[in-house]
Amino acid sequence: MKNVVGNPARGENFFRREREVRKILTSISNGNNIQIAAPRRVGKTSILFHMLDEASGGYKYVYVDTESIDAEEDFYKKLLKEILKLPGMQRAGEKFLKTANSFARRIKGLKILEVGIDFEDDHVAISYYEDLVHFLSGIELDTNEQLIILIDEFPQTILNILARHGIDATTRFLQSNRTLRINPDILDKVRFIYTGSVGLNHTVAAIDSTAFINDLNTLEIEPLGKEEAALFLAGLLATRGVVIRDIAREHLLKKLEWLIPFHIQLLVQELLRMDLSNSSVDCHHVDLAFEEIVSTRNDNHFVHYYSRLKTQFKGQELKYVSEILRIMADSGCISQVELFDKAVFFEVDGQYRKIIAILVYDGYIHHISNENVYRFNSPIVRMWWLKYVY
Amino acid sequence: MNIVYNPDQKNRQELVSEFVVRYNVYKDIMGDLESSKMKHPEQHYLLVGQRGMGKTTLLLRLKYGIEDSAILKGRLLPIAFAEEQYQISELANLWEYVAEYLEDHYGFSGVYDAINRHIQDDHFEEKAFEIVDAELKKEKKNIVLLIDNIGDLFHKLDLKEIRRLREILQTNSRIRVIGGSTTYLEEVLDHQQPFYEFFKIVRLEGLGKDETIKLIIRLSEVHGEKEKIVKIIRDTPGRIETMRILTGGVPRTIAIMFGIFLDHEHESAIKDLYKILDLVTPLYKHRMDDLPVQQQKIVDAVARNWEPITVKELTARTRLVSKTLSAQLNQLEKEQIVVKHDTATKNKTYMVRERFWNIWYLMRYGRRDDREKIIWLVKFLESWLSDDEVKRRIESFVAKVKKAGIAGEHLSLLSKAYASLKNLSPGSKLKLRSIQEQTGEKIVMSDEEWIACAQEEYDKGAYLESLRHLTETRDLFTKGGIEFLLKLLQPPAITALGAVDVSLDRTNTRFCWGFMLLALWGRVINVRFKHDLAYESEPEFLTALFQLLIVISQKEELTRLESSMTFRLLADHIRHLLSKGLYNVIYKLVDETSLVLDGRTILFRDVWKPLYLAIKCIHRREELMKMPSELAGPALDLERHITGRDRFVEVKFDGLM
Repeated sequence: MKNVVGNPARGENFFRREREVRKILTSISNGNNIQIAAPRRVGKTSILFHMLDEASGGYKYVYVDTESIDAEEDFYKKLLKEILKLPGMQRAGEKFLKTANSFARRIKGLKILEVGIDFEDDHVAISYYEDLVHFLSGIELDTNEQLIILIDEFPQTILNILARHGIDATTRFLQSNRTLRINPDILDKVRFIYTGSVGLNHTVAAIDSTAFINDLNTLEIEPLGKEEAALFLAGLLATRGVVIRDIAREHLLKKLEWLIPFHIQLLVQELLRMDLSNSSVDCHHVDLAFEEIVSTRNDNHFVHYYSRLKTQFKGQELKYVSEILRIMADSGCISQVELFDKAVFFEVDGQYRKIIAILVYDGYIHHISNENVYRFNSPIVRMWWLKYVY
Repeated sequence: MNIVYNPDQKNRQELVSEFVVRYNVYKDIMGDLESSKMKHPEQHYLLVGQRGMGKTTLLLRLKYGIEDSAILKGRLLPIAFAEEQYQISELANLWEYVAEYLEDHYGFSGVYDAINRHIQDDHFEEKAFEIVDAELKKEKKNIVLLIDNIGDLFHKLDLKEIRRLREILQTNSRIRVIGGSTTYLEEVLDHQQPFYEFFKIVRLEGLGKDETIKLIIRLSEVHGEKEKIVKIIRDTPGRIETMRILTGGVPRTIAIMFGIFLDHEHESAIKDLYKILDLVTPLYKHRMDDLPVQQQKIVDAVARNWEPITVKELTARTRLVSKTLSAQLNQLEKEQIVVKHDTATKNKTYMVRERFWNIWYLMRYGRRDDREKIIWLVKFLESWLSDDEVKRRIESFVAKVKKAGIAGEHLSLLSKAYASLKNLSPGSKLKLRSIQEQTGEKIVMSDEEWIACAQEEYDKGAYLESLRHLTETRDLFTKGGIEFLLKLLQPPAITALGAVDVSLDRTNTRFCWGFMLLALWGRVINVRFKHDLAYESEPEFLTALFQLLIVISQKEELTRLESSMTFRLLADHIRHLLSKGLYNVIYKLVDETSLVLDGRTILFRDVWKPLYLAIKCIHRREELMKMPSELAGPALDLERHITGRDRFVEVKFDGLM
């Protein structure tokens, strides 16, 4: 297993996260369309790719990255295009097109060429949305086979359309997506899974369109469990012929606390930079790796935690957030009471619950219920905060 | 100099055989490429490093490595992009370039024409990509795009195209990218940008010790100077480390400086240095030009300061608010332009990381006044040479100047630079002082430095020379000076000095005075310890001493304390001689000793009247009554001191001069 950073981990480089995959499969089998919510770098896209590559649950998957799309029509065109790339789909498509065209020529954007199906870009009256609806409702899949459409960077697409075409067009876009999902003709054949590095809920809430996504089942991707993390860690090190002593592994996991794959990968990267005698990691190396991980060299992995706040919050809200994170970084945690008290001071007591919820969703902090306090998810982020923000 | 600037103009064999550093990075990436099945999209890389850090060379080495790899050969096709990609202004051009490259280098055909047929299409880029992708699929080939200065490419694409490129790289398993960049690009740093956290960033840092040695050995082989270098590594490994620190471990700068590294001769090294500073200009100028305006301003202030500078000082010089300044400094540190130092206090200090770059900057942009004009050379010499080498070079420089072997601009430049060196040893200063007439460069030495020089000669047993340096002090009667005098008063120094002829060259009055003082003091001590003096030689000694005192009286070269002490000793000595009954000898000497100075005969008794009168009135007290009152007082005091009647009265010598 290679230490792949940035690009989603695929194939043998993906650490199998059975728990998360099972959760998604259960939701699909319950007939849901899904949005996957998780902070950055928890591994959402890698999980989707894993399901795609493994055809998990016996479904047919299609992955569509719509990050650059900024028009509704292009979105549906891309979906259609990617679906047609699926094995066997060309044939099923041709068969369907011949029948469909002989009837009402309802599909205008596609044509059959010698080499297969091509897109009819020049046709003026094309609606790829219509075409997609007709295509999905018309094609025949094998018995009991369902098509799962994985749409990545969907919130970015919403933002792109908003920026280029304005709020009405964006609302229409969300609406047509919803109509597509609940269309009775395709409901049994097709399921949609949306995800993206920007939170879908915030994006949609900002244009008062929450109603258009309330049919989606929200699933959260959790960090790794301790055993999973230990396996992942050992796997990454083993690829480079390095072993970690039991005591050092325990030490590392305890120190890391928030076991997201990315932070484990960063630590491994630091460990492998070291001059390891006997190719073996001990506690001392682990401590050094933690020190190194917050060096200026690695700044780019953490600075977004800080800069994102400025895009997410403005004015008093930003001051409030900065202050409570400072307290948490400084003293380890902050009580619910103090959160409220500070909110009154910064005159954001009306919004403070929403603010805390965003910080929790975005992976900054979590709640410890038996003590009723909040603290940083990741001690590494906290260390970074102490070093660079204040 | 192709070797230095244009790795892509080297032939394959040269580049491969000269590739001795960054080997670990190369091995890691090659290892990844060779073990990648490319069934799914694979890891993309971004090599980040300042200009000259070896990005282009590494990318080329990877290209050759892929072409030579038994595993990758024919399966993975490297597509190399020139450093400047003028033909690319939109994403579609990238695919056109790939199409052309595939045709020109790997025998593909018709790809470019196929793309061109769609040039009028609304979705031209999509078409272009699909055609390239389909060809690769058909031919069962994968490609790796080796894009130097990938930031330039990113800047040409609009946001939509950037998003599109990311989509492609994230989903297409036939293409992978290894890019190079001088900075951490905004595109990968900003969390709102598509390529945020997308690449595996490999930071090319300055070379460490081992790699520097490897590089230098390789360079020496290329220049046919291996023996010389092996000797340097064995005998003076510190020089390699100096080179590494001065160049910040930047391989290109090391290669450029290699020439002067070998050269011990001053003038030719300086000539080379000029040449080198010229050569590095394109490299170094870019480094500044690459920075955003605000960072340029900060780096300018840091560079001009040379020494580590605090944020507070920088705030004053740049007039930027400290928050902005700190953020920018942080970024500059990350880009390896500046380096941060902890201090004993909470304040951090910053300086330019690559010292040679700083030198270049001072030379090019330093102020033009006299002192600043040569500061770059001073800083270069300070950084480049060890204390021993400075010493050696100054010795050889001085020797050449004395033989008139150096003249003109070089003489003035070097003498100024050497004179401005910090921590110059007293010995070296002394050497430079010996040619100050030729150079016109006045070397000022502190009393401590003169004493250190005296010590050096003393250690060599050159006592007279030691004394000569000692008397160069502005005030001999400081703690250090007196301690040293006492040392000279003991054997073996005093014995050796006693054998020296007293007729010294009086043009160096202080030196003569010092010598006489020692002799006088030696006599006083001898008497105190009841050693007998050779009285017959006293007149000669005293005549010489009195004549010297005449000179001193005309030149006013002694401090008040120095002259007071001299007279106290002299009075002690005369008292002793008088007590032995040598009154007439003394009186005669005081009365008659004279010296011709500038054609004028000067009598000792005229210039040292109180002494003369004191001596006179010891014998005839009534003489005192004839004296004017301003002389009678000091003379009486002196008379009392000489006769011992002042045992409990402090004699005031101040009035004697």
